[in-house]
Amino acid sequence: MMSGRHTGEQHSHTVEGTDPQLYVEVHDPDADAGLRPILLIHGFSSSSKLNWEDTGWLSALLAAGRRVITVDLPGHGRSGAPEDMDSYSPSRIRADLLQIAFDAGVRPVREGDPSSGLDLIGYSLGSRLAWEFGATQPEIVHRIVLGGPNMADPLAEFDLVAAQRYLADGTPIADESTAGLLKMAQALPSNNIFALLSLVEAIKGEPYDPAEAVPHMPMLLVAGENDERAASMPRLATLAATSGSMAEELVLPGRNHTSAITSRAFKQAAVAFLGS
Amino acid sequence: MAEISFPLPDLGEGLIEATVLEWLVSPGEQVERNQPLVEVETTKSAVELPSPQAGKVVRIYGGPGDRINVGEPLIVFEVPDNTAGIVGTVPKEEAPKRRVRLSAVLDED
Repeated sequence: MMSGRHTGEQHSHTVEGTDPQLYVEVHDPDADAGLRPILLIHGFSSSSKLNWEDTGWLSALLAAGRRVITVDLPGHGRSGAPEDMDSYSPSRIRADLLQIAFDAGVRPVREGDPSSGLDLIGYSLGSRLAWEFGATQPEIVHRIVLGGPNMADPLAEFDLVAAQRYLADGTPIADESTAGLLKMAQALPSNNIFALLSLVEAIKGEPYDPAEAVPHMPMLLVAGENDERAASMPRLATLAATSGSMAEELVLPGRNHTSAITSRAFKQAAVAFLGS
Repeated sequence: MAEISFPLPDLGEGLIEATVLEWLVSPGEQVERNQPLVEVETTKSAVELPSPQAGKVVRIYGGPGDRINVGEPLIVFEVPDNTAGIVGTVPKEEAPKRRVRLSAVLDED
């Protein structure tokens, strides 16, 4: 169900001279709780539709009275697939997300004003971006929910040469992680495989290091029990504590990196965490 | 009262089956149209299926971990006789669409 009004558009506000061609939707709830908007950042090889709409997140957040901003990452969903590598770099994506937030009317966090600032929910690669966005934008980010979060980016170890060789002539890929990620990317016919490889290449140029910049706002870490990333949550929580922040952890019994996303316990925890 | 059965819908992408993760409703419960019914996982993603129908849940098929093929029964609702229709089709709940012109339209050219 898509309750509430929403407007969708190809985001055309240029940040650094080139148009990022990002597809943005702003969803307004039927009954607004008066709280700050929530920006949703999806994972690698997914989209706002797959990660947040089909899984029931959008309707759950709208039912909780939250205003929701969704964006498809470059080369994903309904966003464009720019030719230039720079459009895919995590730093450039964060700059575009900041511009999208401002364009949606997000204002800096003000003490005592629950409608000020922005909450973030990220999943997988989206959690990496949310962690870095929170760390670098403390003026506007209020709280963060990080689903399926990592300590290091598996995409940074991706064997691009092997992947390109495989796509060109079917040469088998030796590295298991690379083969798995490419298989995931190819599973959806709608994916632009070459844009996704550009994203991988850009990520290899800016690998994830959560210790480099740590968010200072409260965060909720969530992962499926059968997701190996669950093991990274205590380490991220320690980083947060070291920087004076507070991190709650939630492990979802019986769930893996894919099935954790629809979990009702996950949604309820996020709504409660971001509503307080 | 009449019963209406809904099968596991086509989930697209050529998928032929899904695994039940968790039911969000139980027999005897009154549900609204579009209320989340069940979480299912396919080989490609996990999705939450909204109810195509308002009514009382009579039966649900499959527990967590069970596979259901597209087209096999997923859930049965009990609905008042007058909403079931003669051949089991369900009238849509939306108000009938009517075009009403609220303001005069000036010459478009």
